[in-house]
This record gives sequence, C-alpha cells and structure tokens, in this order.
Amino acid sequence: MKLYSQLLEVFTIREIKSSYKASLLGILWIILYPLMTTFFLSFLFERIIKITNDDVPYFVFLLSGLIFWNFFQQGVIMAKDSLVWNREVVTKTTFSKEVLPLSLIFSKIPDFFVNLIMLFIFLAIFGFKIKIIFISILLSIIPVLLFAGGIGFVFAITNAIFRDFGKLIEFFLMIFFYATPILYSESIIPKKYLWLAMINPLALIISFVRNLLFHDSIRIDLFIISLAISFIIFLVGIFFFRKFEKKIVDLI
Amino acid sequence: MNKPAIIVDHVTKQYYLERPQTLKRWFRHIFSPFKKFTVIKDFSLIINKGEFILLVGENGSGKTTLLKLIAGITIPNSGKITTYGKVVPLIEISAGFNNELTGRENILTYATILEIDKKTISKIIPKIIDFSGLDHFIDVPIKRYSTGMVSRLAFSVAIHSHPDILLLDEVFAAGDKKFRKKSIKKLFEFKKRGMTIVLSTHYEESIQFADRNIFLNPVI
Repeated sequence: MKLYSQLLEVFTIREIKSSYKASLLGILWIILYPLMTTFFLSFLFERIIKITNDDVPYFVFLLSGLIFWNFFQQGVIMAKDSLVWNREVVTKTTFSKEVLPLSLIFSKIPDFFVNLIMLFIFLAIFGFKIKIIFISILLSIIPVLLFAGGIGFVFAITNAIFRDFGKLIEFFLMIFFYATPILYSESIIPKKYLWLAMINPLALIISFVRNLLFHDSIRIDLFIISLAISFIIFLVGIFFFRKFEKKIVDLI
Repeated sequence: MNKPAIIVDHVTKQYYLERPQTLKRWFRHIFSPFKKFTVIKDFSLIINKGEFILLVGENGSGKTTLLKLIAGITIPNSGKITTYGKVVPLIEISAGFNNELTGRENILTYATILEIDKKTISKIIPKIIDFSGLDHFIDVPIKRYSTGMVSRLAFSVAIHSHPDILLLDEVFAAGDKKFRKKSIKKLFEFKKRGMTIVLSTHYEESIQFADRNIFLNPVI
C-alpha cells in the first residue's frame, strides 16, 4: 500500500516534470487555453446564438464549467495513451500498471488549481464577492478524478489493443461535451431528458459548483450522487483494467 | 540440500504472429484466427538458490521470453512457473527511463518500479551513482547519455535493489569491457550472499564463469 502510493507519487511527479521541461510557455498555456476557449465560446453563445442562462454573467458561468471539463477531458485523453506511451515499462517490468493512467490524470491537478485561481480572479473582476464557503469547491475534485480514472482505465486498455479506439474516444468526448450542461444551464433541459444530466457525474459536479458560486448554496445532495456514480464507474474501470492487464503485455 | 529458487514446469508460450492493431485487421481475421507462433515448447527447468545460470541461444530462441515468464511480466499458455523471493528483471536497459529527466530522477522512478521504498532509495542512491561511474552526468537528462551510460545506470539500480533472483537480458551488450568486468565481479559478490542470477547471452565465450549453461534452441 505504501509502495503503491509511492509509485503513484513518483509517476505523477515524473509526468509533471517531463511535460513542462520540454515546453516553452509552460504555465502560460494552462491559463491561455481555457481563456481563449471561453472568450470564443462566450462570444458565440452570448452574442450570436443568444443562449439564456440564470442571470449570471455568461463568461464566468461558462468558465466555471469549462475548467472542470478541461480537467476531465485532458485526464481522459492522457490516460488513454498511458499504456501505449509507456510500452517499454509495460512489457519489460512488473508493477501495478494501473498507476500509469492514474498518474497521468493526477498530473493534471496542478493545472486545475491554476485554473481555479483564474476563475476566482474573474469572479472578482465580474463583481462577485469571494466567500469562505467557496472553499468547498475543492470537494468537487474527488468525483472528477474518480470519473476520469474509471473512464481512463477502460480507454487505456482498449486503446492499447486497438488503436482505432483512440478515434472513437475523441468522438465520445465531443458528444459528451455537448451532452453535459457546460455551455448551457441544466434549467433549460426539457424534463424528459433531465435524467441524463442526473446520472452524469460531471454534470452533477458542475451544477454543484455553480450553485455554490452563483447562489451561495451547498448542494451536498448533488455532490453525493456524483461521488457515488463516479465511484461505481471507477470500480468498473479498475475491474476491467485488472482483467486485461496481463494480456495486454503480448498485445500492445 | 539445495533449495530451489525458480521452478519452470512444462511451460509453453505462444505469441500472436500478427497482432490485431486495428479493428479493420481484426475483422478480417475474425474467421481465420491469427497464426500463433510458439516460442517455448514444453520447457522445464529447476534453478537452485545461489546458482549463476547462463542462458545461451541465438536470436529468437526464446531467451527473453523465458526471462519475462520467470519475472511474471507475461503469462504462459500452459505450464506453471514458481519463484521464491523477490525477482528483479533487467530485460531492456531503458525500460522505465524517461528521456527528459535526469539520471538521478530516473533512478527514483526505476527504483520505485522495483519496489524499493523511499527511505532505502535515498540510502542507496550514492552507491548506485558510484557504481554506475556516471559522476557529474547524473544530473543531466538521459537523452544526452550514450547507450552504454544508460545501461550502466540501469544495471546499477537493478543490482542495488537487493533481489533474491536477478534476471539479466544481454545487459553487457552495450557496456564497455571495463564495466562488464566490474559488473561480473559484483554479481559474484551477490551470488556468494545467495542471490540467484540468470543471465542471457549469445556469446559463447563468457561460458566459463557460470555454474551451469542452459542452451535454448528455436522451436521448429
């Protein structure tokens, strides 16, 4: 157990170190990427498509959803390639290979924190009061990690056997982006489709965060449902991963 | 009495000749299963504790596969393998090394893969660096290393991880003569303390120092 956490820690730090060593703008990209997307999308949806949302400035509304989406999406994309990228380690050494997708997802945590700080800066710019209860936003990281982990486990295996799955995953992510209330508020979803948002851990957690930031209410119910569903997905993912872990060595 | 360290019991290992890399290829083959390629066929072997074994065979005779099977990296199609104690494989010199990171940072990763806890790592790091002879290169990214330097580093970490069974796959192919001599001397030191060593090679000349030579032939 102790060794397991050491493995996770070492691989996460290795990933963080190596990904910033080779990049020029480094930390700037972490800020620029969601910011540019938010500027573009908020222009598109606020000025051109004229989406209605709950009296919150659309820019911060969107940003609050997007940073969670980015965290999830980047984690999943990294995790899906984790076995392929680490082919050498997978085929030549013995250790708990589930550390590979997990550590890649974990390596995105610092980026996420930078984005959170950026969100708070923009909230302040838009005239929101930053309150102590906002600290409970940190809770939201747990379901996102579990959810991305569960999905990442499955995709890491399938992608190692069939490279085509890489393409399918991109498609899945695109659909999932629009299916999750990020660009819009779940209040505009017709009643008969609302259940889709209620079983989506990411939608639940974004809703939890928006309630917290914009309505000062801690919707612990949303958090708990999200946590429960993402935990189940995580368990299914890890079960699937362990089942194929040994076979992957000959197939990758 | 000699205690066994590794028992290989009627092991057969097959690989897929054509690996199903894309769905398209997989569909094409669904009605005609992939050709399988037998690397090791009904192979049995008992290695005792403290033995120094040399696996000799040409390319494709299954040396690496046998080591991978003993290490538990891959599983046999049939038969059983039992090992006693901690097994450390050194199959490919660069496994687990990240090119962007320095030698020191890579020692940490590799040692962790070999299940050494942090406290022990910080204790053995000077020994590892000293034995590798890398000196000031240790804080330079691995991508600036020569092949020989990488293999020296990997070998140093592997032997300092205190395995009961050490599996080495042609590790001296890249290192120079001096390092090879030093390494073999070190291996004998460990052997005296009861470490079991299996070294694969296709050089016939190195035969004299091992307790036993196991000859592998390609399965026809």
